[in-house]
Order: sequence, then structure tokens, then C-alpha cells
Amino acid sequence: MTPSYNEKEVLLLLQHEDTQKEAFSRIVAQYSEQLYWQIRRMVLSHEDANDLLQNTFIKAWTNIDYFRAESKLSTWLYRIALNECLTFLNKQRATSLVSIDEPEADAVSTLEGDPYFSGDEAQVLLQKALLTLPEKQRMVFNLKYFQEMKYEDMSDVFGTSVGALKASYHHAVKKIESFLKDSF
Amino acid sequence: MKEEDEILRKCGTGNPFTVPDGYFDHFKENIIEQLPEKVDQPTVKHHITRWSRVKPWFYMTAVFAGMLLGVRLMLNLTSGSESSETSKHAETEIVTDRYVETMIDHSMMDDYSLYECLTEAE
Repeated sequence: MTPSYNEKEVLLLLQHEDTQKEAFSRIVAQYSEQLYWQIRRMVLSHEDANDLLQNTFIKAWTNIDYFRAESKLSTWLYRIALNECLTFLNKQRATSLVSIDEPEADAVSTLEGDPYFSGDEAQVLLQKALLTLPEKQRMVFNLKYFQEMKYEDMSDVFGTSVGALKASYHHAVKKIESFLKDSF
Repeated sequence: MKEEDEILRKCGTGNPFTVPDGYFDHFKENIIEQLPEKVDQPTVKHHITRWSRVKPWFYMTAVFAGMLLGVRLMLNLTSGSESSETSKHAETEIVTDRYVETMIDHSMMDDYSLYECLTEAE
């Protein structure tokens, strides 16, 4: 049976070399699912999300000695995961021949043929609307809308003020609503 | 927010993405197997010589000594120029008009020879 997650205990176990791996496996068990969904909403494909999630945990493991518990462990992991996503999306944009006018068209057609996507027409439209947003704004929207993350926690993840995040979410909501209004 | 409610009404917050069966169950084992072994970083020991320990103090003392010397030199220069100013002032005070007149009288010089003397001097 998996022991219940206790962050203080995990942080203590992380400090000793012989218990570090055990602590890390508890972290993976605790955060892998929520991080996966966040990554998946950004990159859409399961294979890419799986690769990025693995990279996130490997980076976290190699840098775990530098984690000083000044922020929450989850915040630190989100920061690594979202940076991985941004790097991946920038590389993808640089290498693929995506249409400048409709960057979302290619991604949506891939999504519709994805066996691990079971959304209806409205959800496809929502994904299409999300793809029109700048990447950071999309991250903010996903964290607030789907995960209901607090602005204060988001501020730690992005290193941006709460006010700026609220404004970013507000703009994202307006853009998506306008996109959906034109499409429905 | 009105727009947010509209999005919620039209699309909801449901998750349209799925994962292969048992993905999360296997993920933990897979990632733990993949974790690279931690290699202890060799610590480089630097031998600290006496000179390297004293060096900053030496430089600091040198800077302060230099500053003191500079200040002292500046003070000397200022006081020197002040004393020369006073001595000039004193000289002009000593040679008064009455003194000059007396001296001219004693030297038995008339205006013409005085003029001549002054133009020669130029």
C-alpha cells in the first residue's frame, strides 16, 4: 500500500542520500497525474506529454539538491514542467511548417485523429480557441479554468504579479468567448 | 465574469483527453528506473597561502595610506598657497605711497629722470 503523502516528511527524507529515492518516488506518485494533464493540455499529443513529463521528473531529480523549500514542491515542479512545455513548443514552431495565418488548424486536425482524444464538437472548438492564445496566456487559462489554481500559487510558478495574471486570464477569457461566439 | 460563465455553459470543464490503460500505474516505476545515478562532485581543495590571506588587508592598507598621503599633500598645497598670498599682501602693505615719495626725494630724482628710468626698465 502506498503511504499517504506528507510534504514535510518527504522533504526530510530528501535530505538524506539513502532515503532520497524513496522520497522522490512519493513525489512522482503524488504529482505525476496533475502535471501530466497540465502538459497534455499544452502539447495535446499523449506521446509528447509523456516525454515532457519524464523530462520534468528527471530534471527535478538531478536538481533536487538545489531545492531549498522556499516555495512549495508543487510550484517548483510546475515551473519545471511549464518551462519544458515552452521549450518544446518553441522548437516545434521553429521546425514544423505551420501556417502563419491559422496556426491552430494543423494542431486541431492532429487532435481529431488522436485515439486519446474523445472530445465533442464544443470541446474541439474550445481547443481551437485555446490555440489562438499566446502560450503563456494559454497556460494561465488552463491552470485557472481547469485546475482552479489560486493566483498566488500561479504567481510563484510564473514569477509574475497576481494583477498581471488576473489581467492575462481576463483577456484570455474574452478572446475565447469571442472565438466561440463567432464559431457557434 | 459573464464571458467565463458563457464558456462554462458552452464547453464545461470536462477533460476530453485520455491516456492508455494503466498509464499512470506504470509511469512511476518507469521513471524511477530511468533516474540517473547521482555522482558525487569531486571537491577541489584550494591551498590557501599566507600571502593570499594577507593580500586583501595589504591592499586595503595601501589604499588607505595612499588616501591619507593624498589628503595631506592637498592640505599642504592649500596652506602653502595661502601663505604666499599673505606674503604678497604684506609686501604691498609695506611699500606705501609715502614711502615711495620719500625714497624718490632721497634719490634726488626729478620727474624727467624718473620717467626715463621707468621707460628703460620696460
